[in-house]
Amino acid sequence: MEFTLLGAAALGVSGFWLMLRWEAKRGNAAGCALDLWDAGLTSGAVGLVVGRLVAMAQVGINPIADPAQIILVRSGVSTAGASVAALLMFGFLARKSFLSSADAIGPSVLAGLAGWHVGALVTGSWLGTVSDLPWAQTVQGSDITRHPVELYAAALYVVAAFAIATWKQKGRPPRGAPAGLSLAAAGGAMLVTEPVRISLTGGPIWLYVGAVVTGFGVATWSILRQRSQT
Amino acid sequence: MHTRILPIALSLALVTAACASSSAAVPGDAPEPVTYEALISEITTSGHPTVVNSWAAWCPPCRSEAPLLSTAAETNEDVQFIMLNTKDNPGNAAAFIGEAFTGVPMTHYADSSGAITFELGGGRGLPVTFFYDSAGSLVQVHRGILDEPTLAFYLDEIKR
Repeated sequence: MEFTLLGAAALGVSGFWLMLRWEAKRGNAAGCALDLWDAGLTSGAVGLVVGRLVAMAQVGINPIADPAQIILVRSGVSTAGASVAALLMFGFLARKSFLSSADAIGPSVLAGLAGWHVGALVTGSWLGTVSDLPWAQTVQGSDITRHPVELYAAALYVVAAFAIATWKQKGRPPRGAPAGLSLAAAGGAMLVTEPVRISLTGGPIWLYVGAVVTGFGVATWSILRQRSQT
Repeated sequence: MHTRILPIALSLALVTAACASSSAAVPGDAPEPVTYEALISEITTSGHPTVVNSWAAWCPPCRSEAPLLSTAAETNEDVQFIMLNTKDNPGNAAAFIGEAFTGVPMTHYADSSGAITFELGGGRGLPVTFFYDSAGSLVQVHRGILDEPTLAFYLDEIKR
């Protein structure tokens, strides 16, 4: 059995938890009545299962005929399916106070994604295309140096998480703007690192672009709405 | 309350995914037996990088990674893919080859005792995937199920 994926998941959950704690101490989620830890983990779990089911359906594996394969997460999870399902689940759980809940959880989700990408060090899939840059890395048995692409993504997520959290604390942004920027950052970090990733079929660029456009759209709408009210 | 929502959402997702039709399986040819020496000769003389995947139809992780290997074989025509059916029933192997690998540019062999997989360096568990460069040198042995980034990474390594 391989447990490296569990290690990566544990790092992701740890990043999410640490940022929730950091934010809570600064009062960044004070106006949110939703249990963010509960909602975040539930949404993540639903996203994971739906993403796995979508991936199975895409390659023609019937989950009813082969139910044991559902737990074989390593053999493929649809990023698009998982992301959409997790967002829908969170939207359902936070339906009574969606914007304030999304603002409160946004940076923590980015920190969780950072932890997940750092977890690629555990799973052994953290390197990208060939590079001669001084910080390029190689794996044991190879003399080819490569971009540590998953660490790039993790670094972008950490910077975005702390920038948005600090803005929430000091800048008093309009409701919905932190959530929009968090969504844009989630897609943007993947979009920026995509050219140095190795993949058989390429990443879901449409999903990343959609997240960036939607995220900036929500943030712009929030700011304009606040201005029109003052 | 959230614990009640989760099973409902999972059930809906399961039913939705189950509606996706999978094509009817047409049995493929049963894989031919091969010797360790013949297999090594094929790897070293082909002049192409080679991926050898030891699998069995009774092994759920092997079945699960089959679509990924099919995609890799179809998109990497310069790489030789050898599927080594290991410790399996020939009828079940043929059925799964027909279901998962029809039309995919791969060579199928049988290793009924599992001795070849062991001699290649794979141990007793399945699945195991061996990556050889174009000179026939073993670059990597991956024990357990493959994910896409890992497979893409080692394909990149053996093609250089």
